[in-house]
Amino acid sequence: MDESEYQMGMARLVRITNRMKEGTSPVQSPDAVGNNHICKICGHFWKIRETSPEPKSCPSCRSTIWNSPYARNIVCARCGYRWKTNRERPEMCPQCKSRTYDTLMLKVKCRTCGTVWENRMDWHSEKVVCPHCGPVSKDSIFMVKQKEDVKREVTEEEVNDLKKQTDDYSKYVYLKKIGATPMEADILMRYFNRDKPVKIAMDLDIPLGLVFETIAPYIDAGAGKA
Amino acid sequence: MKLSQEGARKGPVARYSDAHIFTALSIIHREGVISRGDLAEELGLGEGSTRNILNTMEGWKQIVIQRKGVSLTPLGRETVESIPLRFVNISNPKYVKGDCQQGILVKGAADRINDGMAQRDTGIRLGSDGASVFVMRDGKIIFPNDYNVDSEDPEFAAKIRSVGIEEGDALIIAGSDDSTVSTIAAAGIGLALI
Repeated sequence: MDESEYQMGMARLVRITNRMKEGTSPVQSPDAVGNNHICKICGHFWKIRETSPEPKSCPSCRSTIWNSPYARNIVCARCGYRWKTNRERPEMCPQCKSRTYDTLMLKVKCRTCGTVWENRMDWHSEKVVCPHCGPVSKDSIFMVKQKEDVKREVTEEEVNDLKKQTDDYSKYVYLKKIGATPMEADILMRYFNRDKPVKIAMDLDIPLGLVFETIAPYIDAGAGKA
Repeated sequence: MKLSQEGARKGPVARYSDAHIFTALSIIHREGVISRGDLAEELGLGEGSTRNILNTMEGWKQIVIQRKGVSLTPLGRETVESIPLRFVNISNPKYVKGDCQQGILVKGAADRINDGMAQRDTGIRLGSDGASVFVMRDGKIIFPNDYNVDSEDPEFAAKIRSVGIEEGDALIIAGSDDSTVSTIAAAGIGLALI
């Protein structure tokens, strides 16, 4: 296999990968593979010309955002509307105005019986089927808050394991291992080194609420005890 | 200093600000235990907004809500005591507009004050009629830019000293026709300074 065939193959692979990511991920995909440009919108790939190393538009779909960092096609999970964007995360679907266009299944709760289940919440249908009450109108249900879903629980074992870490570096590695972001790890390290939350917020120039929200699960799990 | 995160809360725009949260913490610290209704009245907010503030503070482990009322947790007490702001009772119609005036002492903020206009503007944005700033530099009480209160108005300078101002501190007095508005404005100016 010669070099150009290999690059063509890579470009095809990128196109397939982009298609599989379509509608969900704002992850940046490459706009060039080897000697080929690749359009992030339609997947067309073409040879890079010396006379025009940065073409303004894709020769196939004519898109001018073909190489923008977050350029991609999005399919709304609620109404199926397709649109092109180069924004990291558009606010809402242009057609149904849904803010959850990138979440396939939503957790919903029935106002009548309190049953919680996952539903696609199709924009086109007027009713949803509650597992307990049967078909009900959309007014009879509400969406369970996403934030509550993703709230990370910290166990007492995790806190004990964290306390066992002898130095700051081990603590940092352990916190990253259990899923803390670099900012959360920094806040927690300072907190466990007996810095007061107000001092942490002032030193890191972050809202005090962020410090409290980060340390609260650890206080629940017993980290507040000396 | 910001207390709450921007964009952390979804839904309609909140009717309260960081100044309300800090004021609520200070009131609970002062009172020990307080009912939600009384707190709402002191903050000049509705019961719904007060409930939202309390829920936020409960999530931050600052308060405990019990049948007898709301009180601070040890972490909440530590927070109030470590924020370098303290409400003080002081007023002077010569320097500040408004019948109801509220002072707030900001520890170590004298260096961040130029002519006091930025603080006055913050106060006005928060609803007060005006706000004045006094700082202690080289042992003297200064009304920016360079009005020496010690020599020009020794009586008021003594009053300022009596609230506990120290070298490098700033005292802000916000005034309006409503004591709640003055308190919130003073807290807002103080938070913007730290």
